Amino acid sequence: MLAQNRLLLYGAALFLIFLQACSNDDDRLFTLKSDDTIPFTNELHYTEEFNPYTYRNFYNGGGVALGDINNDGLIDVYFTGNVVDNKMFLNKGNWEFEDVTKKTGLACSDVWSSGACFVDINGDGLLDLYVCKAGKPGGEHRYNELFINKGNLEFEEQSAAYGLDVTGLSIQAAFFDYDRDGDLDCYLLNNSLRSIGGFDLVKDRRKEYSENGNKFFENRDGRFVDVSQELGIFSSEIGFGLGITLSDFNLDGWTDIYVSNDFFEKDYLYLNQEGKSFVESGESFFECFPLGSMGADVADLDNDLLPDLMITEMLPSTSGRKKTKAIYDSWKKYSLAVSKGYAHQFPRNMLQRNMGAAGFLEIGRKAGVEATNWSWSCLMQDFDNDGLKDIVVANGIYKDLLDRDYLAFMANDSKVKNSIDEGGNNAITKLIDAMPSEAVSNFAFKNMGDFNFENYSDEWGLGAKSFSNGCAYGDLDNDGDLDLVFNNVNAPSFVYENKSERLNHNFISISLKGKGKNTRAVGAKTIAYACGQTFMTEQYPSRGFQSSVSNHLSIGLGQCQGIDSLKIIWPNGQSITKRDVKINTSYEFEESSDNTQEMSAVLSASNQNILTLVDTLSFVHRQLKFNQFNRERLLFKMNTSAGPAIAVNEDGNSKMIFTGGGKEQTSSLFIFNEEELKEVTAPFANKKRSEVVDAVFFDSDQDGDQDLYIAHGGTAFSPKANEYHDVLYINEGNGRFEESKNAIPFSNPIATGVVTIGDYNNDGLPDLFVGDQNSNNVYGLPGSGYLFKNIGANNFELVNTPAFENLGIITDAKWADFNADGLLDLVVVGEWMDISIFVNNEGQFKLANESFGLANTKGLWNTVLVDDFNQDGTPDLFVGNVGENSAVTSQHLLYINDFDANGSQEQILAEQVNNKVYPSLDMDELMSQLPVLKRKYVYYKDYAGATMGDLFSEEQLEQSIKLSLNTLESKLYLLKDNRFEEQPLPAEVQFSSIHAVTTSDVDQDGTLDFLIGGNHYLTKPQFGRDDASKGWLLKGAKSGNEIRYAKVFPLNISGEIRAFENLSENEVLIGVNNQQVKIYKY
Amino acid sequence: MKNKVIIFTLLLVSLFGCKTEKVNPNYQEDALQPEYIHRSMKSLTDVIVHDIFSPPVASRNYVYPSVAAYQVLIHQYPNYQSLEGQLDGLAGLPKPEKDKAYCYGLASVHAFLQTSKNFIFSEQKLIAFQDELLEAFKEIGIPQEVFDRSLAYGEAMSEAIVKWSSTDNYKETRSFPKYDVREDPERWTPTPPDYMDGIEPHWNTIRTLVLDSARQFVPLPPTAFSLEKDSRFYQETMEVYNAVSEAEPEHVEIAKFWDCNPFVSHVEGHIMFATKKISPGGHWMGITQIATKKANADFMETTAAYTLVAISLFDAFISCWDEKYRSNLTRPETVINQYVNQDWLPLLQTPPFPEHTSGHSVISAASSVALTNLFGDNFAFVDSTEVEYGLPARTFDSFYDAADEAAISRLYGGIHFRPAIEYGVDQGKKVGQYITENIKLKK
Repeated sequence: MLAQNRLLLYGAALFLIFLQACSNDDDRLFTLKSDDTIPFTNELHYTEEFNPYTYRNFYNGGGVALGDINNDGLIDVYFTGNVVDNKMFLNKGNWEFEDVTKKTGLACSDVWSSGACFVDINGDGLLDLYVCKAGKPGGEHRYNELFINKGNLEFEEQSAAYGLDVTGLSIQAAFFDYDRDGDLDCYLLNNSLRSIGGFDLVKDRRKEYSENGNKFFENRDGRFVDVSQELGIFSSEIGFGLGITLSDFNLDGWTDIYVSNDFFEKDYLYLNQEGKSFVESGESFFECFPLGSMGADVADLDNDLLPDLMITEMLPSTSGRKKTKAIYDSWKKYSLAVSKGYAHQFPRNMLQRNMGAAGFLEIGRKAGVEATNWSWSCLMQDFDNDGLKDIVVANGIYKDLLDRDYLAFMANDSKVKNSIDEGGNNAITKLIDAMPSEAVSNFAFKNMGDFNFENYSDEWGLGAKSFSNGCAYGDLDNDGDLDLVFNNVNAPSFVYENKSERLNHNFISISLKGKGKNTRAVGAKTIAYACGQTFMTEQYPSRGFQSSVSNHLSIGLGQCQGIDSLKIIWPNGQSITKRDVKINTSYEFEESSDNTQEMSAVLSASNQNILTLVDTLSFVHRQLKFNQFNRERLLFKMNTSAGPAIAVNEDGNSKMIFTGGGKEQTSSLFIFNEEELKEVTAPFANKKRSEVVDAVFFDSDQDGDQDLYIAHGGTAFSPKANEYHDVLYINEGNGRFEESKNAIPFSNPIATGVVTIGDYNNDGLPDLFVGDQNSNNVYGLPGSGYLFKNIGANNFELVNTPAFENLGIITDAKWADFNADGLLDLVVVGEWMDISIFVNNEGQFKLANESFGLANTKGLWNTVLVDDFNQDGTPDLFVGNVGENSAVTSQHLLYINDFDANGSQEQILAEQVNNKVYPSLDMDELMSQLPVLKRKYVYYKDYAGATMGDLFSEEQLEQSIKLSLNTLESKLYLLKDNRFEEQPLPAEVQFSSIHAVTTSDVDQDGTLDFLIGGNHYLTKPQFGRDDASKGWLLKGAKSGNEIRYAKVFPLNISGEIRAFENLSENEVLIGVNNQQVKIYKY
Repeated sequence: MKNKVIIFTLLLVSLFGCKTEKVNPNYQEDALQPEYIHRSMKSLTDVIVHDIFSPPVASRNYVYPSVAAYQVLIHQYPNYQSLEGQLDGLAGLPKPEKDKAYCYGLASVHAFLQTSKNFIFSEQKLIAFQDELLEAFKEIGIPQEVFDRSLAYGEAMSEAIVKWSSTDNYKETRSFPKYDVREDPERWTPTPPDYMDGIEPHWNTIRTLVLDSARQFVPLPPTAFSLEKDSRFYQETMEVYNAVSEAEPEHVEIAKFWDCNPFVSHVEGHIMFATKKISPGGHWMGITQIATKKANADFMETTAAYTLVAISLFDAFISCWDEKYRSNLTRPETVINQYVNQDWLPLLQTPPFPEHTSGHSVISAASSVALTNLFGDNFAFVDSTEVEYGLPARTFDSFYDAADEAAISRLYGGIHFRPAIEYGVDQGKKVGQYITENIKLKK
């Protein structure tokens, strides 16, 4: 019976697979052509002499160059091979290709070719070919070669005559006219010859010129002259370039350069100074970079005319592979690299969204494109012609060089090192034999709009497993969509026919013919205006990795039935607008001097600053560096950047601003008196050792002036340290504040997270709620809330409130009468906590989440703002969470327990996958803390499959504190009929963590807007910091009877924003961690 | 015909051998081959190399199994005495039952291996070896009753030793704060290529076995940090620089021979691999094997030698680590890369902990005192410990001679300044002498 059932199931499964296989194949966007369509295999076998140990770039693979070499209107295909010959295929139409390698003489035999690109270098209208070489040492024609197209499929090698016969580890060249003198100049991307192991992180090393570094050549009448140093291009030994990507990144009309650097060196963004020089400006545009940057591409992904950038890396796509196929830097190495000027680099793909004047925001994790295994190339184009550009990633490495088990056990058990040193018998080949090899699927991400991408690798038919390196797109069959060609190691190349015609999407194809020597108009830009949208493309053939795409521009239009106009901006900055452009048509436009106009910049006026700096306080917040990871080693982030805490009082009688100091920093009180500003620090000097995390003005003793409660917290102290004592300062008039003689009656000092004032018992005296954020100095142990009743004369009494016990990691709380019964209720938020509403029933507090519609709202809440946002008379909530662009997902759990019974608690981050819970920590990290586990798991591959239940006993897990999450989104709730209704928010709000928010009618349209900000930097590099925000203005706008919150605008404030405080007269005070406190006007 | 009968009989015997116990009257003697303890020690070393332990932790892995073996074996050799009361916290160990026969050779190696399993990760490797060894003991022909009783005693000893070890603060130190890197140029910071965290910053809180405390023998401090060209520190830096840049071939050989870095990583682009070797402590356990063999030491003398060397190593590491994180001095590689030549590489990979004093100098000196105490000065030997790691053997006139070479090798290797070596040797000698003066093995 059982057996029968199984058989039946098996049959059904087979049937399903079969069904799927035949139904899908036909509708998939891409069809893989048979291997003999364009037969090329980059065959590569290691030998004792030549292998990944003796040659660093052994598995970098080959590239693809597309271009019409005989001007017959059909795009031809060139492959580079590493050990095998390169091949040139002539497109004969109808997917027939002829191997013309011999005839053209483009084989480049016996030398390691890497990148290739077609370029009409001499302006004769015929595409020439530049081939980069990267090995092997010695051999003939080891230098990069330039093949001049003589017509009739004949080429002549003239690299020496042009000055481009460079010998090095060249990867790819990009030709463009940087100085608008009409001819093409050249950026040559080289990989350093030096081995990685020998570098210490030395400051400014990139400024040292090396013969083998990257080179920039200016074309001087056909002779290419190395002007790298004059122009400000780095040619150092630490340049491990793998990607060269051109675009007008800052929209000033001049071509800029992005260079992806592998390994420890940061990437470069060279801004073109109007053809006079380049200024490397990466860090002022990008908050972070990929660590091992690989190929990259640039394109406008949201049709806002701003080019967005994607850079690939090597982060594995599954948690199992993350634990076995990748190595992560420690916090220390990361910090050291940052301090030596190597910028913030993290191991993952990055999608840099161009925000115009506000720079770029990295949102790869929110977009879901951050992990695509060992990736070499990405290309961004509208593959399905739906009007939005998609992303394709080529990936795979023939041998898993970073397989952890291999590194830890194979690579030495056989005593290889010594064999290598002394030339043992086949030691290396045997070693490499032992390296695992696993083909992986390339990735295709369909652009769903608003920077949402979905993995369509299989849906689009691109899911075949391979080791792919270079790839290129081009319309090989002239049907209006882009076909794809991948160069694979040890497998036939992939040629995919795009069958987008089934989708009935519209398009136009454009060829541009430039004046003078730049016959293909490299550097031109076209903008199609249609359906109220703008579709922008740029003409730069070198893209992705070691490859170049066809120079026919292709624009997908989706359902747009017509084009209003098409603007062409020629490389010299002149532009022309064409009307009467028909859809689904191919055009050729030729540059002429007629009807053109000067285009200086395309940047629209929408980027004007919302906030204007009007004043700075003399207080500069200083966060003492404290490494919480040294104490709580398994944590993924540190909670040590809470400040500055700022309190403001403007009650008509006085204007005061208190700015709280970090540990070892004295706080300041600024008293504004008839245009005179007085800074007071004396009362706070003896509390300098403490860290201020919250502060509030209130009239404690009801004598008519404002007293000040200062909450001390943080993590940089020992448990129950005196530095944690909160202090009440009594206003003695004339700017004199004195510490209250009556201490707040805590039984033990707590690491306060929040203090909030409210008269909960309506006796006319303001009472206090104080929340514990860091109970017992162990992250994750629940802290309690403390209710202190004001009994007059600055005396407070602790009110026993069972509902407030062990709430969690309390970060914020606010009093408000949520149920309109005349008594103040309380909302409390925190990390791994629900948004908790406590209803006040004559002094008895009861959790009432469910009735308010806030059940299951566990998040990593940092802040809560309560106000009547929609002015309907009821209090509403804005709650700041970690956002959706972080390493944490709602499937994460945190287990806290003393797992090894040694007296200290461990926090283990874990993740639910298909109802199983796996640890999210790197094995080395976990085992160094709990060595006892090493006896259970010696091999990484075994650890990768281990669940929490495999690692620990049921009893251990049951006794653990287990924290979970429901949502990572920051939320806006409006209270309607005693329930909180969630309001939709723009995606940008979720780009980063939110720690501060205020509401005000910034645009003065009668509805309240929000200023929101955050970021959290202190995260271990494998998890990566939250940095994709420069503060936002979130606008509220009336829409009928409702208020909609649909639009955001960047505030352009860098750093970890920790406080917004409204001041009168349209001013706002902004506190950023480790920065000066500033006042802005809006 | 006769032959056939013999074969038949042999066959019968072997067939029924398990039923009819065949006792070897000389089993005690046959079980006391020092080879058994040598092989057990080697097997522990192999697993330590495989599992990768830092040098101080490796010293802990050696000491407890050695003491377990020793404490069993003294019951066979009445002229040796227990270490109870001599090692901190060691007391109340199980005693054999009176008037019952034991095979102490078997019990001793069993105690050694059972204890070892608690200190390494790849238990399976040890178990495989243990099975093989027990098989060899079975072949000796020990009466089954004695065999079982001996194993039980070995296990009981092992349990007692493991319990004693659990109070040495090791487990607690796993959660102590990591080393905090300071930005001060004279302080230690992580070094290339791996930039590993400073290992075992709290090793000085591990219980010492013989020393009063980790601080009993504080060495002279390092030379004051200075970048002035005529300063002593700068000259010491340049001495290391030149030792590598203008290395003599003999010095290169010496440096490599004494490298003893349990985990050296090699980074060539994306490809990385690591090589593992015995730790400095493991090297001296190897020398102990060579010396005992050369001296024809019996089972007891051999075990006693291993135990004394292991104790010396253990306390020497604690003493050395105490100084390392007190003086907290930067490594030559860091100073040279930042201020002299950014491309300079030491010959050996810089190990991940502060510079002063040199661990190899301290522990080699301490071990050499222990071995000299047992086998006398001018005990020439050929050190072939590193042969299986691909390095040729070296000849020494005495243990001190070897220790001195191990010490200076760190300068040749470019990983230590001279004071770390000279003061380290001095520190190690004091530790070693104190131990030999305070430990009485024989009655």
